[in-house]
Amino acid sequence: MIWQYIVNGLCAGALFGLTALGLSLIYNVTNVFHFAHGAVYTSAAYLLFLFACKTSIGAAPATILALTLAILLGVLMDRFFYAPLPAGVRRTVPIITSFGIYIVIVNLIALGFGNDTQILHPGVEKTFEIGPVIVTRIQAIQASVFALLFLLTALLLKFSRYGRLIRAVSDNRKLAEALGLDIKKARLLAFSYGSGLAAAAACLSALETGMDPYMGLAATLSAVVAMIFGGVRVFAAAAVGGVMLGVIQSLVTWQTSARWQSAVTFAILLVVLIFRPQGLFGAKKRLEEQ
Amino acid sequence: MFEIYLMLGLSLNLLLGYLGLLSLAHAVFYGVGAYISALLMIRLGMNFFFTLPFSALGCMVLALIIALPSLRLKDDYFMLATLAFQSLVFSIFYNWTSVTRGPYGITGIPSPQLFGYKVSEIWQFCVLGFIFSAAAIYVCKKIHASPFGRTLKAIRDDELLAVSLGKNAAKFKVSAFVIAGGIAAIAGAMIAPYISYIDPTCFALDESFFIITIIVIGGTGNLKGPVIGTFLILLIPEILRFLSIPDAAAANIRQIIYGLLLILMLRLRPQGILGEYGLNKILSPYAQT
Repeated sequence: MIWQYIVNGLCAGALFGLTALGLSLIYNVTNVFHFAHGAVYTSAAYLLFLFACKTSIGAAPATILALTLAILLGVLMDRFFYAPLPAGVRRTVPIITSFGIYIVIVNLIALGFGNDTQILHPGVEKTFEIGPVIVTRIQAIQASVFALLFLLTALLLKFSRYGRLIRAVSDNRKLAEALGLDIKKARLLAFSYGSGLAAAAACLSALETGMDPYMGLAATLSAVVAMIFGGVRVFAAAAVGGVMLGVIQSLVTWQTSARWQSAVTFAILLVVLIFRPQGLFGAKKRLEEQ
Repeated sequence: MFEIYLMLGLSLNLLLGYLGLLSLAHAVFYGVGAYISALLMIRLGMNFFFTLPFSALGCMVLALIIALPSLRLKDDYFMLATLAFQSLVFSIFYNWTSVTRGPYGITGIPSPQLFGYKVSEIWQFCVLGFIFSAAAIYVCKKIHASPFGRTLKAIRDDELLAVSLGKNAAKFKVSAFVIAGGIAAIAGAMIAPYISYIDPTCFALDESFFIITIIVIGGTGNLKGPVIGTFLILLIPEILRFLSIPDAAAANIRQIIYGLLLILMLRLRPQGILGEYGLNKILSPYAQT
């Protein structure tokens, strides 16, 4: 029994991990706490729904189109709302702005598609039995997409020119600027790649459980917890934190009931913030010294 | 309604306007105040006016508990801690069914009574609300004019400097939190008999956003801001009703308007309509991260 819950948790955690990785990229490069990430997430799911169910262009083009538009949305948010804010502004301003963007987009979606849950993929899923564990096809896809994207991101960050740029800017923004690195390009990269990851997670989640306009906030809150839990300054930690959070939530469901999931999630956030603000895998550094 | 949100706005203003701290947990104080008062009235049959001190005291203790760990955290992390707290308490309201009746909410909350005189009509509630909000305004006015208020602003603008002048920043922050918690608790205690029914969704994260919207739009750092903000924000649903937009869409349109107002105000007039503290103020170089 426990293995089934762990596997379910791993698959749910894979989605948290993708979303958290995107959030972490954006946060580290731009210092924006991007709650509107949730709006990108919701938009991606609804765009997929729009293209896949309302037109007849086929599944693959619909997915590509949804991902592209969601990435564009994320980039536009940065261009029009975050980038114009002056440097050194109190962090309160981008945070409230991102809430504003989130509220507007999600309610536009709710106006257009209604507040109810929409189903993307009706019917019973094919399942596989691996030892004592039953895995649905979608869960298998979720896990493999996560593994692929995680590896790809790690390799890109480590070895590519753009990855080095992102790491440099997130490590020390002022120094990177002084050395003449292109900060604008780093922002663009972070927002597009980060939004892409969130959009991928959203599409996978929509395939499994359908969508409602408020799915994005729940996903972003989980991603925030995952990012802080894993460690803010380490990119990979956000993804690992997401997977761990998924497993913990699943085990909580096993031991008590699903009702206490969010209580446990946020209790973890509080405990980590108070006792280990650098996160599980974070370097020992006081937050004030960033 | 107006008086209740006015009190919430005034109370959050103490944190956001005077201390520059963004708290997403304001609906927690509001909710805990409402639940304490409603439960004492229903379970123990207490008089509304005797439940008020318990509500206020309960929330002040809670504010103290939130404020202490939050002092170590800055900006984003402070906001996150309050967010965690908000979601945690909401989950407790929702799931601790033996006390709060969870999603079913608490029904049949009796009207306040004083010396055999029953407050049940809307105008009577207005008078009662007016008395409470006048008291809240009085407290905030005192704070605004006192050295205490000025010290809060000094800490907001440059904490290091305030500390170097011998001000105990932690003590001031905690006091502001406790006062804000107390005021929000009274607002919560008011809403319970007014709508005679409370459930956890009245005190969700959206409600915290709503209170933030009120003071970002009205203005931060003084008293006029929350007043005009509450007035304008509560006017919007009435205008929508006047335009006879169907109810289902009206809720979403209202939210869109609030969101747009938030973005636009922060961009064009960050101190709010009548406020005096610009949220976009550039921090002193020492306080920048």
